[in-house]
Amino acid sequence: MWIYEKKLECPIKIDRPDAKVAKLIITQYGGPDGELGASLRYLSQRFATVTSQAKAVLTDIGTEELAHLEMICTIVQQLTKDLSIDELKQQGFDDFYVEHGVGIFPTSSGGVPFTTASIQSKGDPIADMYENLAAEQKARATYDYILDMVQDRPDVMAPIRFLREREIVHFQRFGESLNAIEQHLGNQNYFFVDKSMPSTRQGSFVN
Amino acid sequence: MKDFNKDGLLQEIMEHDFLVIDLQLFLDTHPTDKSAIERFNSAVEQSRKLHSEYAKKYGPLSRADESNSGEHYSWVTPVWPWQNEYLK
Repeated sequence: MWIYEKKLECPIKIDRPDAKVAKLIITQYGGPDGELGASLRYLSQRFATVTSQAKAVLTDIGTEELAHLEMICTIVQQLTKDLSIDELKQQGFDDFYVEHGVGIFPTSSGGVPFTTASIQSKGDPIADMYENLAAEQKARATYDYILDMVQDRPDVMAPIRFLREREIVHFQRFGESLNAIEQHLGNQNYFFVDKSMPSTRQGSFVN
Repeated sequence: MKDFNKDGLLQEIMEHDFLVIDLQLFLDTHPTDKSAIERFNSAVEQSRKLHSEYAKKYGPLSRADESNSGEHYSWVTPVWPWQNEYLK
């Protein structure tokens, strides 16, 4: 279970609204490499992983991603606050506005609603952990691209930089988890998953 | 303990809680690292004190900080973390 803490993981104070920037940032909520997908991916995968350590890492990172999506939503909310209809139009927010007003909706910047098609939970600890390493790198690259676009907004850059750094730390922890899983399964076996799998799957084990 | 105003105390809590998050994640994959365990224990202790100080003065930040609320239920506050007014 979870307990809500009435605070952000990292302080956010947006100086002035800009709906165009909001539309770029929102992709890290509901886009293909966003925080919502990250959280669901890790919190789903943990049920099928094999080491206690990987269960801890997936639980803790999956939980931290919830704090990250709250940060992203906070940035978007503050960037769209108190804008007139004319400003929303000029800043290219009209298409989002007709569907969601200035509410928060999980979508990519391009307007594709959040979809679980961009995440995987394969029931295979090795496949899952490789997916997670790629996911952290893709999220880090997205933050790099966002930073390219908001060079004139230090108030936006500060929390985005924080989130980018967390992707790097998570990548490191997942890498360590992958090594531990491989060791646990044994280097002769680790492409064939866990020995506790049904016997039909065990035929391919190298003993 | 330093004397903070509400925002200062909140920022201090955020800093310590982040330290706890990061050290916990580090310890997940380095469970025998003695110096990390020491830092973790001290960050947890410091965070606990700060949360309790904040809860006494301004109300609980989480259910873990709730004590008997007496006559007042203080979870419902006018400003929530995503609002611009949350930090001055």
